[in-house]
Amino acid sequence: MRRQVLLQRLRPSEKLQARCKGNDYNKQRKVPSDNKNYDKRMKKSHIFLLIVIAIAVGVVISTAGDASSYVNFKTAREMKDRGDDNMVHVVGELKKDDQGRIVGITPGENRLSFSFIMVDDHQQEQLVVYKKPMPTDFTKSEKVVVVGNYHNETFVADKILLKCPSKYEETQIQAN
Amino acid sequence: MVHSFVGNLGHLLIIVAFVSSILAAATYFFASSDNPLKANEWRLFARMSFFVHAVAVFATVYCLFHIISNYYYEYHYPWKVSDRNLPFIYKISSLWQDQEGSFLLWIFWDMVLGLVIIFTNKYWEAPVMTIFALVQAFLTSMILGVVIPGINLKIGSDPFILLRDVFYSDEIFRLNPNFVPADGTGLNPLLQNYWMAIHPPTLFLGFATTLVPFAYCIAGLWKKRYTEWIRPALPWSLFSAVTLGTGILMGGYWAYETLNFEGFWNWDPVENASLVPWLTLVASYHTMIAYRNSTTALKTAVILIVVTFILVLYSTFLTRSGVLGDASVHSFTDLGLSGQLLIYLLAFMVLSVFLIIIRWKDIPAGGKEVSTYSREFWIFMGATTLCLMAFQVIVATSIPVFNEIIEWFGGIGNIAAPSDPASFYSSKQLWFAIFLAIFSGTGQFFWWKKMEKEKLKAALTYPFVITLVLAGLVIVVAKVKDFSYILLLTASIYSAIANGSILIKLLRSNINLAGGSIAHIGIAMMLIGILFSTGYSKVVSINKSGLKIFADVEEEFNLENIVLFLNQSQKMEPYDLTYKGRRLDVKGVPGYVDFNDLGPTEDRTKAIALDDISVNGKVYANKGDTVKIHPENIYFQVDYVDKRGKNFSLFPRMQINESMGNVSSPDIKRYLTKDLYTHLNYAPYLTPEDQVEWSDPETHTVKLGQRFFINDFVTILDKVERVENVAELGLNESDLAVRASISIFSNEGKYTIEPLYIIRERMLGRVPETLQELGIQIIFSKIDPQTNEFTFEVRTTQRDFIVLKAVQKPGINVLWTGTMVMILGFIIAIRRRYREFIKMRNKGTEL
Repeated sequence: MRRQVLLQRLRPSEKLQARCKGNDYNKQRKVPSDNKNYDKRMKKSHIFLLIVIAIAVGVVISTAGDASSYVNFKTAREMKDRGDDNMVHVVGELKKDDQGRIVGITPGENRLSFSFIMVDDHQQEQLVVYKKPMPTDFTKSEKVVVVGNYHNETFVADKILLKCPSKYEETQIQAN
Repeated sequence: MVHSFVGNLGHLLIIVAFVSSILAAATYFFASSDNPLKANEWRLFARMSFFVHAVAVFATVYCLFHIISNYYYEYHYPWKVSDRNLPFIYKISSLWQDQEGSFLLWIFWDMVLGLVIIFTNKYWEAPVMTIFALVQAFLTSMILGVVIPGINLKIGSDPFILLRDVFYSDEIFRLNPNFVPADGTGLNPLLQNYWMAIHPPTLFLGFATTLVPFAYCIAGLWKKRYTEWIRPALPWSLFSAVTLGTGILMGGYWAYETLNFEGFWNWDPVENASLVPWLTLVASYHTMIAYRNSTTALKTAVILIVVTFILVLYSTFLTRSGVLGDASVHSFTDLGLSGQLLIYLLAFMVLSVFLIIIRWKDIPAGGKEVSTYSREFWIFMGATTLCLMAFQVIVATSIPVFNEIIEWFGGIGNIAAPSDPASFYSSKQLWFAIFLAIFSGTGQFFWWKKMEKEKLKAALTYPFVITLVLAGLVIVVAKVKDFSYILLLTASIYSAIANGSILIKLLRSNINLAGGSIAHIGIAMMLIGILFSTGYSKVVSINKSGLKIFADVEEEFNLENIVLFLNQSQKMEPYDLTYKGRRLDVKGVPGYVDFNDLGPTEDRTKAIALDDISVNGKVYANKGDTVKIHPENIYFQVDYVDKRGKNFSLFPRMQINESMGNVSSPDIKRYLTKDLYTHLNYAPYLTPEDQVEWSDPETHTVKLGQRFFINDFVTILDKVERVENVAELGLNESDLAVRASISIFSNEGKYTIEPLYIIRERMLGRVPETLQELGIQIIFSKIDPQTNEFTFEVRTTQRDFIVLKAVQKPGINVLWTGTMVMILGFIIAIRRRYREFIKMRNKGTEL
């Protein structure tokens, strides 16, 4: 009882506050209908959450779909034969002779392109053509990743990524 | 001589900085006590520790600068990143050129920010500085360079390591341990650019400032002051967003000006790693602004601030641990820090997740639920879109990490990044950007006033109509046909118009509140600029000759490049282009100097002037003077004449860069509505292996007036006469000189070449005369007085030429202007939020 009285007495100032805060006051009075709204809103926020999750899942799926993959030359060949023209990544090394010298690099006429022989993880040798200038440190690289696909018997690289030795080995001091 | 003192001092200072940061973390932790007596006791001690740390960090930076500026090449760091010829400004920027230095830069910024916190905020000082000092301890450990004895574990990599300790197995150091190289290997010339001098410090300041809101947020959770931390943290969040954003864009602008991929953003993993935390950071302060009226905003703000900071650590891990390895051109080589970086990342992740979980229920959920007609709703939609953008980028960028994880569990990680990143990312980001523009436009209407459905309709009518008219106009005029582009364009114009209408109202009432709408106008302009410059970038150098330029390149190359031979004009709609030759940049001389006017010296950075060097009548160097040059930069002058006869010259550059290969940099003609972006795709004779090759000589014996053929060109020997004044040619009175005059008729017109027949001190002098335009060299080798026949030895070569690509980039200025507008908006907003904080702090009503 006492509480109710107190509340009633407080009403005028409360009204003032309510005006300041917008429609808080009205909300308090319409408890039942507000509850309904509240339920609706809960549903609304659930729907919102579902949409966000759906988009996030979509993002993951599209990434997985557009992602390329690391394969060896044999698989890349099989993919091409199947009619799959997607670009793949192949990791390997440059072909070397017994003395450890790199062999099989043929520069193009204007050094705007070149071809080389790459050995993949399964020791399969493959001629790779790159229609852009030779990347710096190409011959120094430990490992080479080519991104591209087969055009007939040659593998045409669209991009070449290099794994270079760590920095403490990359340079030799020149006495001068 | 090996200057070991400064290195030892520097190393000692790093250790002092490390120890003092741990001490500061511990003492500030005790100073955070709720017992005021205890807190006061510890606070003094804690401050002292942090001041010691600050001095040590500052002195470390000085030591590193000292060994760089005094050319102490017995140290590895200066040897690797600088040389004696480097101008002062780049000596400073070589400080942060490599990993250790960039960590040091980061530590330096954190230290400065820590001092600012100490001097501006009494209540939050202790808990916030606990987090700060802890972060500093982790960061300094990265450059500690201390080996733990017994287990032989090296912590950090310090910048004061001696060259001989790096190359200990090299012969030279075995013979002479005190060997000091005469010069360093130099700063990568690509980075010797003013943008590269300010981009890294700005970016690292951006990264460093993400710590401030994070520290406030964690301190708030820890001290159970769930809302009070927001007001002091908010100006910092805004500051962080504008600094990081500016830093990222500076990098983009540098790339646009310096690299030749014809754009400002390459979706490289390292670029992405800086963009993602920026997106979540922007989302986080939007929710911070909304926290008062929404149950979820406060909790979301907490999560986003933590996520931003963790993402900064994650991107550091990505770029520096070597995990990106072969996926990025930017990434640093592995310093063996991956373990340490992972611990740093995991430590803060576990700490903050733990704190959030135990405090979750206590975080107040006051205010009312979000309705569609509240600003909170639109803020949420915007923040969610930003987070989804960040999510899309980080998922694909993290592919190498997924592989590592799969391998770690014994699987075979064979996923590779999408092979065409530009289209992969932009095709999705475009749709997010459309929604972002809509939300940022509509949200502003609720910004300053509560809105009812009807009022909203009324307020939106005008902006809507204006948008539709304007968008329709632009679509028709600029011939925008792609559906997604039409949507993005309309949404961006809508955002600009909607925010503009709010801005006009605010200009009349209170300009201090206009930060948000100005920044949003900037963003909308940036979107429009990106749309046009990227989506409607047009190649103008179309090869219409029907001939392949090179047989061994991709078809696209042959179609989108044109060949310009020296001094021959060629059409490229709507211009006439002429390649005028090679130029060099001579120190102290404005513009560029003809390559042929400079002769080589022993020192490759110096050249001899073969002629007077003068610009606009002012002589800068006389014949025979030695001048300073930048030998690695060769500029190719291309003269443009447009349809109205207006002419200008562009100087695209080829940089002979040992570490990056030859780098082609564009030169850009800037118009108001578009940029004409010109760069070379090929030029011969750039490297020592690729020199001018002359054919074997062909002998022609002809009479006066006789026609013959050189390289299929009709050639006539016009006249032969004795040179009267032989002294002019540097000969003695007794010597003989005869000049022949030969006309060669090429497709482009008539050329004259005048070879000399010289008998000097009774010896026949063979002086080759070269006609560069046609690649012909003639030696006047014999005169037969009996038959009146003259013999010439003719050698031919490839004429000097360039392969050039020109691209038109419409609307790029809208992007750059939008950037400026956005920064201005941020500054206004920061000022407002900082004033609010100061006002409340001084009143004592809030902390």
